[in-house]
Amino acid sequence: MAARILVIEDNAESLEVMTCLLEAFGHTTFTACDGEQGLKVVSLQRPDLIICDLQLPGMSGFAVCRQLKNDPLLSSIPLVAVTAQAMVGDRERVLEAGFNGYISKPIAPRGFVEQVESYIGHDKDGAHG
Amino acid sequence: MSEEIATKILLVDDEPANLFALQAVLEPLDLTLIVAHSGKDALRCLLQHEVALILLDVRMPDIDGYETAALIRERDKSKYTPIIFLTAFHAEKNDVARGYGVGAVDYIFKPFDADILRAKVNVFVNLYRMTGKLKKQEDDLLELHEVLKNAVEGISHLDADQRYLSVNSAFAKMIGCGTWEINGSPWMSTIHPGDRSLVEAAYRQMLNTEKAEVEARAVRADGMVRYHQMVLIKTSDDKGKFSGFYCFAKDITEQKHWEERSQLADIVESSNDAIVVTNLEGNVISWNPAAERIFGYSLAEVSGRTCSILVPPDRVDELANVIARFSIGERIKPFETVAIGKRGNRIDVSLSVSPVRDPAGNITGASFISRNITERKHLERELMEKNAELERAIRTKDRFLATISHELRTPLNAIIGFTGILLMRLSGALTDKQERQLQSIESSAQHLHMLINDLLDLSRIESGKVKLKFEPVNCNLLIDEVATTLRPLADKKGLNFEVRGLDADLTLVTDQRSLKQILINLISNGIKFTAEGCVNLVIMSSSASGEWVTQFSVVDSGIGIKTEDQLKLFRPFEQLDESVPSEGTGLGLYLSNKLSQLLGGRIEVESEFEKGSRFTLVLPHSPGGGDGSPYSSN
Repeated sequence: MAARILVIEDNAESLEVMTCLLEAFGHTTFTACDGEQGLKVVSLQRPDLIICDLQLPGMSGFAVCRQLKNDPLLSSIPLVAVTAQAMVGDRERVLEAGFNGYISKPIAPRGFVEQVESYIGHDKDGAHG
Repeated sequence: MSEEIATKILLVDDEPANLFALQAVLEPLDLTLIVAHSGKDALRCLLQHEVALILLDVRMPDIDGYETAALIRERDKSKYTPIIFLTAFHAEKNDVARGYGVGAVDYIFKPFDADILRAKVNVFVNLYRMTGKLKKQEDDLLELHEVLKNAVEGISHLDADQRYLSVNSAFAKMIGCGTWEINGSPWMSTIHPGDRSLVEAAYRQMLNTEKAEVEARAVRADGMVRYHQMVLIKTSDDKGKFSGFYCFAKDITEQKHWEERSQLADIVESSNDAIVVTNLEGNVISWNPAAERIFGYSLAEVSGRTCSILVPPDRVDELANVIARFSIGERIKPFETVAIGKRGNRIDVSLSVSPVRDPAGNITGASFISRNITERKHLERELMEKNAELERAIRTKDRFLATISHELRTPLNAIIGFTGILLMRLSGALTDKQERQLQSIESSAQHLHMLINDLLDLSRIESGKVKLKFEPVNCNLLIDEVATTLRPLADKKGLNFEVRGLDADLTLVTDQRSLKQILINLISNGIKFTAEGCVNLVIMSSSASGEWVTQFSVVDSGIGIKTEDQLKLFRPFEQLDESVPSEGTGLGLYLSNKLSQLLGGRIEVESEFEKGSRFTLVLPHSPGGGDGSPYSSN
């Protein structure tokens, strides 16, 4: 089940790691390196899933989440945070903000795609990460 | 006896031989005998002496006995002095009658019988002495009566049932009622209820020792309370039976008040708090030594001046408010404010203000009690500053840690991510050498990742920021997860890994994350330090004296730990043997031990060098588990 996945990430290396892994498993990826751009891609492409970093230049990942989740047309697209904010309580804060999933960096390359796929088709699921 | 020596009688006779005879007869009676040789002589003697009896010869030249007796009777001093006439036996009956007529009490006829004369004289002397005694007693009594009647002290006489029999006017005045009104009323009705037991004690003491003293409050008829100093003296009837008592009372109210005032004055003088009394205008009336110490002004400098010199300009309204409040009788509870000392220095004080009243109850001013809290305030401020500083430091540290964590993870993500992609052959085939080298990069990066996690955990635990969530945890599920995570590690080393003794229902109320972290750490340590054989997790719940504990023991057949090294195990960054290759961070056991303490448990170690080790996590059961048993009912 190939999916169309948008990755919003300002760190070029992280972005490449994720797109490389996702494409290797047959998914189509779109990329954006800040929030505004990401939102444009969402409305143009209507991806099946969005991966979003939290610390982005300009608009933060949380602001992206607020916009998406407040838009009835887009709120059903699964939104997964992949972030280096991995202190105790960060996961809870992220899920509370409306993200459907939370994956901390560094990611585990062998399990990453499976983890991401598990959010497709589910509205809310915070059990992975 | 002195009285008998003093008793005088007068002998009057013109015949020296007769006088001599009389003296001889009366000598044994031990009287002072005064002799006169004529009537005139007798009258002269009576001017000088008071005599008990006169023996008077009837027949004398010049003035005879009758005339002498008549003259004696005319004088006040001798009007009643008994006179015995001495006369010849053949005296005329008329003469005898005449003698009684001028005041004779008896006749003795010459020649007299010595015994009869002595007997008669004795009778009159005794009579005289008795009369004298009675007179004296009467005089004494009269005098005593006068004294008692007019005594300043209150005197009351009470019966054996403690009821008033009589009181003097002073006492009636003291108690505020008429002298007669009080008779018959109970003594205790005049004693203040609060002092009755005290007075009763004095009364019992008086019964034993005849006399007792007590100071107690008396209640006047008008309800006013006065302090009385009382002396109780027991009285007995003529058969010696207890009949009642006298109570001598003195009003010492003024003295008491003076004592209280002087005690109060002492307290004010020695107080560490400034005590300042002002009038209604706020002018200083009294100023104690502490006020001088705290504010710097002497009494002379402030007496009569307004106390507003102590008030900083920005608090003038506060003083006006205080004056307005005490003027209507309000007490102002201690509040913190600032005063200005003589040197212009600001003094933090805790101030309380109470209205001062005159005896009629009118408010005449206020007492200001100020405690110097400058030092305390200073310390408080210092403490607050330190606290704020500390909080800033903690916030800075937390921010720093979060930043470090974020900044370390981002490059690590690229390293681990790309290494993984290469090892997964997503970028093409690898030679064996390339694969080995990439694996080396991967495990180093994983080590770095663990180190970051451990350091962050350590920082959280040490700053007490770990939030534990105690809830029922199904150990079966938890241990399954742990075993699934670690089994590949054991398999890779060819070690046998088993979980033993796990009951399907074991549920503990604990923090899941911490328990999992401890178990993972203990088991991975076991795998790390065991080259061959097995690593087993053995679970055992037991109760001793009603206290349930569950033990999670990780038993390995590894290298073991020397006894002398076992104590070092729980120190941070302690690697026991530098020669043993280890991928640990040196923080694992230290963290696990801290976490076990947070869970209310501990980690125990048994080990034999080169034979193996047993690390046991001992967890008590929280009372939340029903009967304390670790097995849930569902």
